[in-house]
Amino acid sequence: MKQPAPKVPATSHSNEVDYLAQHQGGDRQAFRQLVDQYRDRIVQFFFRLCWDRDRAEDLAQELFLKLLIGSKRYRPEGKMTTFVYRVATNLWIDHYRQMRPRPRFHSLDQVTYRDGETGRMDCAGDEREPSERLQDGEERAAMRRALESLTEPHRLVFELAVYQERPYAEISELLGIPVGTVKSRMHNAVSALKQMLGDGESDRQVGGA
Amino acid sequence: MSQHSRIDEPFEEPRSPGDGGDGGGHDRLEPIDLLLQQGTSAELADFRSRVAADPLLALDLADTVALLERLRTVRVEPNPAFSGKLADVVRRADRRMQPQHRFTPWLAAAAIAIVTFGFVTWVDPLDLRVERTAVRDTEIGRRTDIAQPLGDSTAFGSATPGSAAAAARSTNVAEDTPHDGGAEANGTRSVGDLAYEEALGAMRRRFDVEAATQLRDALDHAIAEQTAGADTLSRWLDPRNALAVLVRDHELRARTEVRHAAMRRHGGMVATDERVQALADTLALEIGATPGAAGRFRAHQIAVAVRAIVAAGASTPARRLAVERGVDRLVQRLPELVGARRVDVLAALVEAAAVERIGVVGIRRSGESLVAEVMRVDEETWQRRRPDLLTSRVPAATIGSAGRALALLPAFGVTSERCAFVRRLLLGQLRERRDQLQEPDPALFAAMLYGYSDLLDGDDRDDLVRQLRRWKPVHLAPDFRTVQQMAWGVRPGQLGFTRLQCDLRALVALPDPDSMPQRALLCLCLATSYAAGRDGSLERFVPGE
Repeated sequence: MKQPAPKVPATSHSNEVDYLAQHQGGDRQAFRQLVDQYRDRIVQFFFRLCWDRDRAEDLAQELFLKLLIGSKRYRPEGKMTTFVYRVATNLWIDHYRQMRPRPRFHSLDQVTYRDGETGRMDCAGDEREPSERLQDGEERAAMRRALESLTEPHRLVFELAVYQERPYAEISELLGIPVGTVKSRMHNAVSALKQMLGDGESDRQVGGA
Repeated sequence: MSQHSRIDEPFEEPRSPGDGGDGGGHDRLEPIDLLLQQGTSAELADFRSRVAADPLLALDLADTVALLERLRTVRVEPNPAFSGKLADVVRRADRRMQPQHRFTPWLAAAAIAIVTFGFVTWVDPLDLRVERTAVRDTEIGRRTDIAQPLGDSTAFGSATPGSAAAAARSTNVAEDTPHDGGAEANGTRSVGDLAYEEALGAMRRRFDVEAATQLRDALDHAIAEQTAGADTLSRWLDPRNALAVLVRDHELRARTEVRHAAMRRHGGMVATDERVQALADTLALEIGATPGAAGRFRAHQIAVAVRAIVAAGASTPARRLAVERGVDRLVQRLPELVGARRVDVLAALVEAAAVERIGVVGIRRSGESLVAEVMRVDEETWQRRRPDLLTSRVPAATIGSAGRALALLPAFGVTSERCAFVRRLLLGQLRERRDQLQEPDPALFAAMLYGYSDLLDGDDRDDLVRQLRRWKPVHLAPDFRTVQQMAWGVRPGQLGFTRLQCDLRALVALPDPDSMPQRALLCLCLATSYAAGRDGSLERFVPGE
């Protein structure tokens, strides 16, 4: 049975394929491709904000559901990526509001470090020496401590700029703040992280000597 | 979807100098901007030349590169099941893409037929529903709920097992959906059937996504049982017979000589009965001394106390009054309870109602809600997660109690096919837990025997009893709930029964626990010989019979 041809352009800004517009136009594969393209990025995005794999996956699933449900109202005016990250950011903010007063919960297959960090328990298939794994865990805990010590707005800007590689102008649009504020948050975040991770490292070196 | 207003609210922060307005003071690039390629090409080229000229800036850049490299290693590997969750979303997207605008003549005819059928069912020109409704609406109809639940008697009365199963099946999921067996007889699938199939599909998909093989097998088993329509008669009769035995045993338990005979028959000590009676009297005082006495306790605590008094024999006016007040309290609380708490309360009400004939209508309604809690499909339940009762958050003992209560609920008018279906799934959940055990768990084994012994095959049952032999009941104390389920779950003639009776005798030496619910549970454990209903009726212990 012949499918109606998509009525929207296959590409939009910067040659980015607008899967949501294609899905809206009746392309059966478009949403699948959207999920394939963004799944990993989005899980990592939520994970580094909440540090809980299960919750990150739930949020990612919820994001794709929101995109699916909202796709009828989607207007392909700007970049689809910006739209996706806007929904993700708003979802995180809603979630953050709800969860802020509560303690973190961790799933059972996550290791909880002394400082509360969770990481995946790699029991099988991890060929490294226990000492290497321990060192890796400590390094990971230090990075998490450092990232967590940033305020939520700084962390969000840092996540979007460094991990999601979004331009400052787009982050400014996403968060509804001036580009100058994005830059200042970014610079403050980097200098704070340098200080914390640099100090931690020198502490370890001193302690180990 | 633009929700910018949400962005700023949770993120109020003390801004650093220069961090505001249009970002004045941050026009100058920093190493991070170069690394992220944030800026015009002219700005970036200018910054590069500055780096070349300034060794300190070059060091700063190197530090920033190292920092980003370290931080970019922070990532997580998603769960294997995550792909399944997303596949679910994609499937939903595919379903939404189904062509909705082609209105073929065949579909039009089908739609007209469905509308006509629905209209005729609603108008009911042949008054097919009048008689049933009239009986149900009378006070007598309500009072005879135990003896002749109308939903089931209709299914039974339809004579053919298949149609009885189908009748129950169609209401399994969409309770509000009217069903008419005639639709199936005419080869037309009703809305209820479609909802049922969709629900089964949702359950199967959920189990596939979670790779829950035990639950998938349980679902297949449950569906096979329903479609085969096997044992429709026994499914209808067994709960009623069990209820009748409960009622008769309750009357007999009031007689000391019967209790003692039952104790002796199972190798128990007669002195144990004195302890049981003393405990029951204390419990009756605690929950029934005054009209508001039960209010001091939570619903599940009252529930276990009521069960203990019933098990000991509600033979004195004080105990009857305590059961009555306790049940009143439970009936009040029941509508607001869900999940595990509802199961605990319902289990007590079923036993109390069997013997005192109180709260019957509430039990039926709540039993149906319990079944619906597992079987209802909505945007959240089954589509994104399992119902709570099928998760590992619910204690195994509660699932065990649910199994026993569901076995009796058909006698109160809850559709037997639905109860059987849910019992299969709950057993599947316990089996799933057993597969995942790192350490043997007596509570789990006891719950399987207590609530689902009739669904287990002989080898499975023997294996559970063999596993339970590792723990002596007295050593499991103060986990009396596990002891009670273990004691009540192993039946005479089964492997390990005699040895367990011997071990149970040691319980009488334990001191009274401090808390009321623990005392009630100990009372239930000690009363096993004549309260567990494992060995047929107590009639054979009546002197002279």
